[in-house]
Amino acid sequence: MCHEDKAANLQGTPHALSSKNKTGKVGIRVFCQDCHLRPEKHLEDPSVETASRAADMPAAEMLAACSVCHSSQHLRELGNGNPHLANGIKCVSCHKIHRPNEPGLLKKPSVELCLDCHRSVSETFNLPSHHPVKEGILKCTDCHIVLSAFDSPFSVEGARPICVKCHNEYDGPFPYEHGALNDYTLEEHGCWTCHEAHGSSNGKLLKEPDRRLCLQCHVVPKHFTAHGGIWADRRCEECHSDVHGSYSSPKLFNEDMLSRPCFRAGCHSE
Amino acid sequence: MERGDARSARTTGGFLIFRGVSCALCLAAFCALYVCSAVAQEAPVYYGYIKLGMVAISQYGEAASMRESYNLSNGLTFNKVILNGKLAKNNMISLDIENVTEHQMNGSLEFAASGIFDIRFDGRRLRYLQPDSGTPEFSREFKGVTANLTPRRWLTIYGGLSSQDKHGDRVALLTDGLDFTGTTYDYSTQTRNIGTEIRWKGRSAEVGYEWREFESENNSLLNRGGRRLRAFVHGPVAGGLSLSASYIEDKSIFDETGDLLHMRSYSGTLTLVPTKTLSVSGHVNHKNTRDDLTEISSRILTAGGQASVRLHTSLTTQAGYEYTRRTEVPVEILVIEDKREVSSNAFLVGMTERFSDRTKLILRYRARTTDRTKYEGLTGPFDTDNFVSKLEGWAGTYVQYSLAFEDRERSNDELLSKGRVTGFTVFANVSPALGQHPPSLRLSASTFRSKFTEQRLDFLTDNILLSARLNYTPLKGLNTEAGITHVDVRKDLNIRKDIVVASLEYEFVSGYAVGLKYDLFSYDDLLTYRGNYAANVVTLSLSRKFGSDYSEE
Repeated sequence: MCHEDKAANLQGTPHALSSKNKTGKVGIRVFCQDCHLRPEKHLEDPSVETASRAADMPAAEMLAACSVCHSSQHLRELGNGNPHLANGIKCVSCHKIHRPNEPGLLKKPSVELCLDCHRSVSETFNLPSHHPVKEGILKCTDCHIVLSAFDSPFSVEGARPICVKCHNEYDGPFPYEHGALNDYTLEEHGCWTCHEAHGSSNGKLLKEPDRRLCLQCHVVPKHFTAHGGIWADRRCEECHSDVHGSYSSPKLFNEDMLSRPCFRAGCHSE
Repeated sequence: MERGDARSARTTGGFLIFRGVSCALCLAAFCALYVCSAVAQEAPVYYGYIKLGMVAISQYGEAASMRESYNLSNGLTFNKVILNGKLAKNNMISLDIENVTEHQMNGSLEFAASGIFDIRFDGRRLRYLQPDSGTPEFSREFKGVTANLTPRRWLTIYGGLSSQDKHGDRVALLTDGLDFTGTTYDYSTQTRNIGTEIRWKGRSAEVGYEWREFESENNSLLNRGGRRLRAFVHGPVAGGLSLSASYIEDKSIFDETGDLLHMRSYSGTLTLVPTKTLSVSGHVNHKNTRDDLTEISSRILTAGGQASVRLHTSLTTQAGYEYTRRTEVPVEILVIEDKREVSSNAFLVGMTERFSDRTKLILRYRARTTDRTKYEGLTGPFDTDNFVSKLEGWAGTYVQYSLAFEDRERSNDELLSKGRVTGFTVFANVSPALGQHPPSLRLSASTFRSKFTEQRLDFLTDNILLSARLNYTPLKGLNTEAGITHVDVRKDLNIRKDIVVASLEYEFVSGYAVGLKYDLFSYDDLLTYRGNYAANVVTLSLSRKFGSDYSEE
């Protein structure tokens, strides 16, 4: 056997080679030619030039080869117009089949792997408010399966199932929804209408601070002038405090607010 | 016992149990590895890494103001435990645990009888300090197990259970006003799922079903359940043509009222790769949602396509178009029957030029314009423009660099509001050929300008981020590292943040290393003078690498 060293360093990994013929029986499944396609030339002429090497394989061809055995959502969506594949990023750009050191057969810890290329994103994790990725609490893959070419950085299932994995109290439905929260509404964009995904200089990962955040979408007639302008400098959420959705008010007031005279029986009663 | 004490006791007790379980998992993994190998009379094939640390902290200021210092604690820490091994007959075991401290834990244990069965346990526990008390008052805990059974090469049956709990004090989202969730977290979410997948000739079909339950101890009105059915088909059809199609149906149901949110989504993608230089794909998605609570139904249709062409060996171009139409179907409460539709057109163009094997330029522009002529309301969706460019490569033999520029804008012409982020990042990795283990100096400088304009209020921040990190091995077995990160936020905010790290690790016997690490965290909000914090952290560690693979490195 010419490549005993390669066979040896697959031991202890899911790609450990079988020494028997392909029988279809469980537990006997991985052979050199499953990954190193078209070995005939190399068998006839065992030189470096005829070897089927991962480095020479186009990304789409490698994806097809891996997809014969692996059929996760990760692979499925990778093939559907994903920018990684379009830019020549292939399976072995991240995964190390021979002698892997990291879980998931990754070349490096997954966060390092992603941030080595996505430098701008890496830097935004240093901003004052950020998801704790560099602290080792979250991994990129906790949110991203793969990326689509258009707006969605998540998957065909949308962002909502991703964000509410941790922020489960905001997984409605609410009797009165904040339209922007849900990707099925006309206002659509979901959580990142208001929040940055990676890092922000504003607290709570907000795109804009205080009422500027609300003014990016909302017209607020009379709010700056009513009652002699006493509300002009107040924050929107002081009254509209159920910003993610309300159980009592279509204007997203909470119950404490609704119990006040101006809302209970006054001019602003609903 | 006061409520807070009870909660504190519960979270502390829960964490001790959790830590106990994680230690038991470690032990079980090690025992399984050795026992199974012994029974099989085979030499174990395994590799791994374990690192223990003793942490000493000196800190002052408002600890919760700086995220990097969350969950720091004095005392013993499991920094990292990795164990990968082969048991008898190609059975595998994999343990991956990170950052086990008084306040957090993150890990997984996986066992695989290769090609037949695998089971994976995941656990994560986090506790956060709140601004005023300075004590850990809020915790988030995730536990999960997933299993895959592969009785035939072409068939997998899978299932899983998971739970997530949130307990503790809650601070207001933006101001002192609190939303419906009140002053405490007391939630749990339970999720169960089963499914099956079949594979044939590079194709796959999958059907899965998921149940989820959300419970709140504070407010039973919030209790709700959910069901989700997912079905996928994926694979080649013929002659370079492949199909990916999915159907998702989701129901969320309130326990008390029985009201539900019902969503159905159909999507399909056809990809054609007729030659090695051309790839064309088209996709369509239709999502239908009915919300009993608001009595609104919505329909979203998305259709588009994109093409990627390799014009010659070095240049690849991309172009794409996507149309989206969102319609809210008027039910009883809607007065404006014909004004509830928004459509948008999205465009994408991009190119990748490989000047050489080591130098690459990526340009991508993406825009979306929205037609709101059939929409009337207080709010308005955005138009977006995104431009991203990146040049990466090598300057000479020893310097790897990347330059990235991005310009993201979203605007609403009707409201005259516009948010724009312009960012520039320069990165260099200098690694001169000095000795057997050359030093590596990583330098990064970024600037992000975030500008928001509206009729009355503007907001502008300039964010400057600088970082440098040096790794050097002056002697065999002695690894050193030094780094600094400086963040400066100016204009309408005024924040300074610094992180300094210095460490050395010495391998005194093959596979065994002792390490010393110093971290400095500093945060100053110079505008509000609330949120100032500094900490000095010293960690003494002992690590052990084992197994043939590491020793070969």
